[in-house]
Amino acid sequence: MTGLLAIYAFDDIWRVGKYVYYGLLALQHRGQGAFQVYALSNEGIAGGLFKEIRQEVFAELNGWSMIAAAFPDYVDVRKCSYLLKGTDLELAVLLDSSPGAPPAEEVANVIYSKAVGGNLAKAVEEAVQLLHGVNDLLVMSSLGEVVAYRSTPGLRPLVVGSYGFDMVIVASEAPAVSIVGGEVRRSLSPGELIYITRYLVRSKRIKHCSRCSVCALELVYMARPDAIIDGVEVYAFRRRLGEKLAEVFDKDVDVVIGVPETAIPYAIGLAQALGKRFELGFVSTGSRARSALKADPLERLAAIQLKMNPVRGVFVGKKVAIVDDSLVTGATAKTVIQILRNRVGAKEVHLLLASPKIVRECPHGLPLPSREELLAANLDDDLALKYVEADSITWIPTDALESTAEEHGISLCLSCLEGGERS
Amino acid sequence: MKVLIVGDGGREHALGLMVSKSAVEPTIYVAAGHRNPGLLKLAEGSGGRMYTTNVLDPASVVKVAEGTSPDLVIVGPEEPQFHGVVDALKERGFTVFGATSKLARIEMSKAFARELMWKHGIPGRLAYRAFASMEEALEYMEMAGDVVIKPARQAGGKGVKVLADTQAYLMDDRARVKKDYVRKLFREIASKYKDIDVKVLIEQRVEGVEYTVMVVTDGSTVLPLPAVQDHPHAFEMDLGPETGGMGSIAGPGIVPPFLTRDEFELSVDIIRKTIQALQKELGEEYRGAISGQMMLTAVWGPTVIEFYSRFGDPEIANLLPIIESDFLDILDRAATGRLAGAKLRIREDLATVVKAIAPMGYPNNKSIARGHPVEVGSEALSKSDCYLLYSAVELRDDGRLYTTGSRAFEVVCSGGTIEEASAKAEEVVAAVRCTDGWPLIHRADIGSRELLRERIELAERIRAVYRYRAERGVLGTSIVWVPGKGIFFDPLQSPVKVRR
Repeated sequence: MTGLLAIYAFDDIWRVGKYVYYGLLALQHRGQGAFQVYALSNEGIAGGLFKEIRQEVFAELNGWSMIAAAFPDYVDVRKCSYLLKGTDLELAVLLDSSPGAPPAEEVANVIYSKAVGGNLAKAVEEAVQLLHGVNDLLVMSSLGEVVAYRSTPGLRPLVVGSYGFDMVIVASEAPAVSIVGGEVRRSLSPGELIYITRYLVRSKRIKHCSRCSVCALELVYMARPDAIIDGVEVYAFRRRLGEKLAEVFDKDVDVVIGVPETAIPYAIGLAQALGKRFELGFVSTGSRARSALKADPLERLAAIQLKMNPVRGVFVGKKVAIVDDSLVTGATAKTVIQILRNRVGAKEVHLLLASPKIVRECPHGLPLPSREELLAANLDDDLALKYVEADSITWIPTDALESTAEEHGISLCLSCLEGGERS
Repeated sequence: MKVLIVGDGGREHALGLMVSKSAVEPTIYVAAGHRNPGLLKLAEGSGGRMYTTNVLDPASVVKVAEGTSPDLVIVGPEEPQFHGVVDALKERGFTVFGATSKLARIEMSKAFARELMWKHGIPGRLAYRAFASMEEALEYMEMAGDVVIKPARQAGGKGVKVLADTQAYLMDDRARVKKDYVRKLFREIASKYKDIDVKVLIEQRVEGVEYTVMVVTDGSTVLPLPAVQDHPHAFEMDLGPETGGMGSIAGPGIVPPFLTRDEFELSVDIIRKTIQALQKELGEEYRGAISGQMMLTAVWGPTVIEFYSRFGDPEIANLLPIIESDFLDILDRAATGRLAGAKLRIREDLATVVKAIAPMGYPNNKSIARGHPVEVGSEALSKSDCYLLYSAVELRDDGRLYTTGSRAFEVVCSGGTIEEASAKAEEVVAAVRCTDGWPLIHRADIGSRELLRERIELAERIRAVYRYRAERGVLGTSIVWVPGKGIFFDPLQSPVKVRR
């Protein structure tokens, strides 16, 4: 889930540090555990690891070519980031995490052994073919080269953008490009790398997938709604899923709300399809931390509660449909429903989930809670209803998610979801 | 009939090929700075010959002309025009197609061109500031805002810095880059060119779809050629630095898919008005080619980015596969003031694609791009109906071709659609390689369906805005309100001052 960012200026009068700062701000929902930044200047590659993104950092750590990553707190940064100081060549490597994948140090060493006297694109290609399971990758060399690689089957997005004649920007999500005034050119394909130097920019598909697929949770949960993944507008995709929720929902409600903030596009789609009012139900306090990605349960609860100050009048005496984007442990849903019933006085509360049941761990290393911690894997529907104390629970069927993906011309990895065994 | 072509690029090769198709079967002579093998073959094949000479030196070119007594001289590139080659030839009584040094100021001095447009109220003009003093330019940069910084003199189509500056939070950083760039430009222009006072131009930045409109004129009649779209970015996906052009698309017909007939006519009209204004100011007849590097913008609709006192390179090559008229006759009529009544007949059913091939290093490090042996697989070319134009390659005494640092070849293909022509071009491009293994760059994406669709979508978006603005009577204006200071009609009057 790491947020990756590379900014490369063709003219060395640029210092792109400030661009990296704002780009990372646009990617921080993908990881807030640690931020690793590498910068190339005439003195070679310098790096820094930070707990938070602060602008002052970039006064020192700056250059005309930079790569950076926003890591979630579950990631072991030492395995995902490495600076190799060779005698003739320095390499900085940033990797998205993945279980069983080679650590950044090993990846850097293999690339180094292939790159000396050759070109970085070929070296990365050989390293990817040689090592098993290399995930999404950014590599920067002291010779002014950058390589970005999107792994197969394409679980995470990676886009290429430009700032006029002056810069190339590669980022996990499109908003990091537009926030610095750039234009998104296109998504990299799964298995495609892009090689950027001052005199040459080339892209090449070095690995193919028989069935390329994007992680379903990117589309339903992770990515910003203003992102575009493989040509699909995330907001439109989510609103469409909300409409499909209406098809399987048979209760009568007065209002529809989306909670947390990430669930709003579904709620809008659902409300429009039901012909009911969409309301602003909760106001969030503080940062946009992703509650489900917090490792510590207490921290997770704190993050949820901070997002959930109710707008009372919306709920008093009303039949409410609340839409959440996912149900992992059910902690968010239970907290919200308690607030609505006990503190505010809603008449009925119906819970709708915009993602299908998560019933399995992620084979690609997304740190969903283990099987024992997944609500849908442990509680049957009746017990789940009693546990969260809702009047009804409606899940989006996995086939509705699949058909929405088909409508948008993409294929999803559904491995962790009920009915998603095939992929 | 004897024709002398001055110049040695892909454009001159294209012109030579079109001229050689004439019914009068001309003998072609060439005055070139380097031995362009395409022009060499063309000249020798027609019974003429090539003279290697300094084409920037009027006396040297006159000497070649006096030795060959041509009925018509075609001066292709801008630099010989700037240096007075056309003037010197005309003084000796030669019939010349090409702008005189005075008229060529429309290209050489971007400040002159803008001033002319404003003075004569020609549509499609952008707000600008011209600077002869570096200190003044630097001071202005403190509050420049969303601008383009250009060398005030034409410098091979390069040196333009487009600085989209619409994020307040990145403003101070961009102000620093602007100032550094202004210093760099002043140094470069001052050391390289002694023929211009104004060194740097700041222009209102605009966005939109670019295209080139080229015309042939004898000073009173204007004969437009089909509109062409060039691709200035060096690398695929429209990434990387600005080049002289990595390829161009056109057709089928006079207007490419992203442009309307009206927009084309308006563009031609802008060029017509510019020719009239030029002649009025300078008292000379314009006999040659003049091109508008245009952009469809929200500010004006058709807008002038800059003028060329010549045909575009590679854009003129798009005409090569489709022209049916006798092009030599057209150029000769323009040069002798008999263009009225001349018609341009083209194959209306064909789209054309030109792709440039350049050695790695182009455009920003020509010294590493120079001197690489390069060869063309003749098989791919003989099977194809495409043309291969020789540009920055020279034939050395060892009989081999070497790159000279700029775009080496242009592949010119036609087809029922732009995509089809592009696919043909790719086959020929694949047959060109450096025998020392040096990488060549070209853009496979030029002529692709994706890129064309993007251009069409962008044009539609821009078209909606300029039509909205036209209906409300604000076409060509930008209203700036600086609270407490007043209302201005100058987009370069920035309401926000960058802190020092």
